[in-house]
Amino acid sequence: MSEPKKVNLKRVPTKEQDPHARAGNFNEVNYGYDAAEAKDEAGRCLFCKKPQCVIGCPVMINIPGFVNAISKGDYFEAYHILMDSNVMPAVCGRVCPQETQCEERCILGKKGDAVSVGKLERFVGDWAIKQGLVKDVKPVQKGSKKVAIVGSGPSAIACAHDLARAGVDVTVYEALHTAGGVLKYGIPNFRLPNEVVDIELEKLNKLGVKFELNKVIGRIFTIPDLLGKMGFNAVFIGTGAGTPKFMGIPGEGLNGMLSSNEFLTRVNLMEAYKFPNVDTPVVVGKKVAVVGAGNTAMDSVRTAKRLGSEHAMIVYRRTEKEAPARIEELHHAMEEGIEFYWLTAPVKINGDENGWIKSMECIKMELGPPDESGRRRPVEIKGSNFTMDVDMVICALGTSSNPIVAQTTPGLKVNKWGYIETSEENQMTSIPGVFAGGDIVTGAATVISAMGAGRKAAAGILKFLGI
Amino acid sequence: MYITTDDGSYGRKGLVIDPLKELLAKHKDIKEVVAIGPLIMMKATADTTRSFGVKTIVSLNTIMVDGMGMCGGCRVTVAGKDQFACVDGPDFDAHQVDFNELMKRQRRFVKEEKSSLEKYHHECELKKAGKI
Ligand SMILES: Cc1cc2nc3c(=O)[nH]c(=O)nc-3n(C[C@H](O)[C@H](O)[C@H](O)COP(=O)(O)OP(=O)(O)OC[C@H]3O[C@@H](n4cnc5c(N)ncnc54)[C@H](O)[C@@H]3O)c2cc1C
Ligand code: FES
Repeated sequence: MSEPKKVNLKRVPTKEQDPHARAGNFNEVNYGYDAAEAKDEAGRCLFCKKPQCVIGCPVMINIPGFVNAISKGDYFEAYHILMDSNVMPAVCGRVCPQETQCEERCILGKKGDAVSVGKLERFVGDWAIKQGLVKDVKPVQKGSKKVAIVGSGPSAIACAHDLARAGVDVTVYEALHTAGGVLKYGIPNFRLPNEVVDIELEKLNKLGVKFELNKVIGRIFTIPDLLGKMGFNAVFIGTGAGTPKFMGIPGEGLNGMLSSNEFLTRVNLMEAYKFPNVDTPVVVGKKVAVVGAGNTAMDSVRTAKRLGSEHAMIVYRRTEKEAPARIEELHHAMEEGIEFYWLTAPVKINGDENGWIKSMECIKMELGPPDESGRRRPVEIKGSNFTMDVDMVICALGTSSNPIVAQTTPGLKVNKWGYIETSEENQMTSIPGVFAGGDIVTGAATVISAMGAGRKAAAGILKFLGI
Repeated sequence: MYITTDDGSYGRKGLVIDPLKELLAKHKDIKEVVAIGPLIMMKATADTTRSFGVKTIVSLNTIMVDGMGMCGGCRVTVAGKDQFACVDGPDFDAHQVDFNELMKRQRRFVKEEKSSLEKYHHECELKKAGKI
């Protein structure tokens, strides 16, 4: 009888850039595993007969399969197992909230650290990039069917990929001058370098997908145009959630007040930190308050810090425990010297005579009984108002549905929040031949769930087209 | 067609609102005025037509950033309500637009615009001198 395998309860740590140094640059925080570390970490997996991690994964990646391939040193196989369910392992390995998905269900997590599935996924994705596997992607002979994809975020990328591989003639229409959606304009380089996204997009190019950039659908052409005179056989809408919410308090029209989307786009996509060598400027305050505590808020506040803000602060009406950001990001923000104002809600922004922000009045909150979402509802503590000295306020309160496509597509059914209604089974909307997926269907969610929806829609489209 | 220029180098010397005032005074049957251009011109037009009680539409294209509803940089107060120029407009009732707020917002990059222009001139001169 062989000895039972000795379980190592501690995960192999990854190296990270020193917090002090990284708060002043945009280089990646986490260095990922090298081959030896990946092998050690993969060796911790118990390869459960009924793997719970797979159930926790929104696209049900064969996790024990790819981890096993790593432990055998067969990275090529690991890559192919990943690609069966996820076309962007280098992206998802970096940004997925594994701690609430696969890793949360890992049996090892009950006694010690869960297997570091995300870091292992990233290792394989990065290995494939280094090997130049993208170069080997060959165009697929195109058939007679044409599909238009609106948007180029993760849902669109996943959908385009599957369609192109099946020989569909795919054209992507993107409003911005660069493809990639939030992966490019939202998530900063220190978490997800733009080159990683570009390589993933290059795969689509190789497969023969056409990109039409700078085209706002609903303005330049409509969905009925695409299906009508432009001759597309089906359309996929992956326009993301998009429209930023503001607080609706006095003073939001002041200078120095902007949405996290505007701030991050100026910096990440337009590289405003190189101004005046690039055309887009950004003004970064010395005392910046970011309102909210999700991933977007953390990305904004850490970006402000990197651009030289002396006090980069998070203002959030609940506590650290309710903060929706990934734990890893919250932890990184703390290490970098971000200041946190928990249980604090802005009530008014004050300006100077030139219309610039000079301070923000806030009120302290306490947590009351749970609301419908199950989270404890914050309530104001009467008379606890105080004023914070700030010169910039960034709103990271989430987004609401962008109405441009729905408004210009007669017959397209949306729910009461304006998100597009689709069939559970195949992501088809109320209009035959028009499919949708990602944040514009679910509201703000995750990269992997958007990709899952894109793939489901691709399968639905292929069936619809009789392919 | 009535053309005005600030320095009189083309058409009539003066502001858009000069002929506009005369026309509105003379033609009582003008039903609608449309102004598209710099904020200051649209504001002046709105102020002019307000006293004549003539419906006026302005196009706020110039305040957009991405133009697709993603950034919120184009927000504008219209009739006391927060609107996005690219989603809810770009055409709005000029008499309901809070131009004062917009004009202040438009100055948020004055310093950067100046440095950008200086850099441009500097490079032009270097080019002329054959240095780059
Ligand atoms: C700052 C930030 C950080 C995040 N961090 C994480 C994270 O760490 N992990 C995670 O899993 N998720 C994260 N998310 C959420 C995740 O990025 C989104 O859920 C995901 O990108 C949604 O994908 P999508 O394909 O639906 O749309 P998007 O990525 O939003 O892409 C939509 C695309 O459609 C284009 N578009 C919109 N309207 C039109 C139109 N009318 N015509 C043509 N094109 C149009 C847009 O320009 C955009 O390129 C983050 C989001 C933000 C904003
Ligand atoms: S220009 Fe960005 S939301 Fe209107």
